[in-house]
Amino acid sequence: MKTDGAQGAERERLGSSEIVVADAPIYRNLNTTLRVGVGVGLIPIVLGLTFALRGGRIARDTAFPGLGSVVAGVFHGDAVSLIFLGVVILLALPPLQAAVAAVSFWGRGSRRFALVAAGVLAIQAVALLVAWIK
Amino acid sequence: MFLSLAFVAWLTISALLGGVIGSLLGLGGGIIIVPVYTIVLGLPVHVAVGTSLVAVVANSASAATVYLKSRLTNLRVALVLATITAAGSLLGSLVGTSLGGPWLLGTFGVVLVAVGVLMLVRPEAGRGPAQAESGEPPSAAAGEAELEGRYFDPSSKTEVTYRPRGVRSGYVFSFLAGNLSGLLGVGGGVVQVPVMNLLLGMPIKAAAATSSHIISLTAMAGAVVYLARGYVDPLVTAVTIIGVYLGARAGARLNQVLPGKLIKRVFSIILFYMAVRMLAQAFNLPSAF
Repeated sequence: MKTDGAQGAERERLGSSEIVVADAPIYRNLNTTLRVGVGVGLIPIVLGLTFALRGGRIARDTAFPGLGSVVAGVFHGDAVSLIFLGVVILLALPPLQAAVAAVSFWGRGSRRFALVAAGVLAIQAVALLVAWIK
Repeated sequence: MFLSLAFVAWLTISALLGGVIGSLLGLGGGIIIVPVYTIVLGLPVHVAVGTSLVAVVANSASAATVYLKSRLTNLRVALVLATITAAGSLLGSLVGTSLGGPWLLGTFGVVLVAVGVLMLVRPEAGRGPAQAESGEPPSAAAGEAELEGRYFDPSSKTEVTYRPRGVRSGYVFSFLAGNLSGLLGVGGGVVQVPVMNLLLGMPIKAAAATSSHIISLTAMAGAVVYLARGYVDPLVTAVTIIGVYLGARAGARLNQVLPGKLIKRVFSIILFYMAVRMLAQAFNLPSAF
């Protein structure tokens, strides 16, 4: 496999086992991102479900109204908007995770894996674009 | 249209069971939830798949935090395979949202049969040959050395070191796993874990953890397509995410006390039953049971 200069220098400086240890801060960054993200995403989902169940009549609508309508609905305490907000936050976690990995690997001089993570982010961006094309 | 509280109660029970059974079998909740929502609760199959896929994103992210903390995840392997898996997930979701309901039901039925057969005949996954314990890792090409993984296994009280080999050979299967995920609303671990264990030579625990991380990165590519096409029911999704999360935790505990082989045999019969029901529904055949 071809390696770039920075990575070659890193491997020369560190044995492969040391690279495993050197990745520890990246694991911590990702763990924090996911833990906080899942927590933040679940709060509006639990709130929305609670509001819906307390209301008794649970409206069923599968059409995503768009981010603007969701945010506006959240300010009016709309249960469905709250749940959709949680879903949007949870779906934003994978791109955020890929971005954190890319920046963290780049910061540690591991450019190849920074580019691989950026590649994952690029495919996620393409998925978002394709999804909204009717 | 409104949901009744009785429907919500059934939904909760289904999500909890999906989480428990999915966790016991190591398959994730989607493989149980989609058939149950379709056959028992009568949800449209596209809504069941879209809802399941969002729940997969949430629960794999939650599981990934546990594996990242214990360092079981091989982050570098996860990123390399995630590029291919995400592309597969996107393609699978585009195909899934374009297919008619009966075609999607039929495809799911066929996959359920395949998973059921695999569960019955597949040997217990062991440790891959590329693994070394508490010593020098096996020699490998320079690129493979960068993918080396290391974690502490509390059950054997040893530090496990391994170097995955031939990661490129896993690309095709990763694409297939992503495709199944986007098409059917499942995680894709049913393909990814054995590939990493048997083909790449990763220890089974590291393979399962890395697979969970890959899913947390890639299922989103399919989920956004279902969301944009109006196939994600917010209330069903909320109940599913919470139910599967709680069920999976209970399943992980039950897994330690229940006999593994018996579980696999019993639930493979359930999978066959659900497959027959889905195929019957797909081909509009009367189901006698």
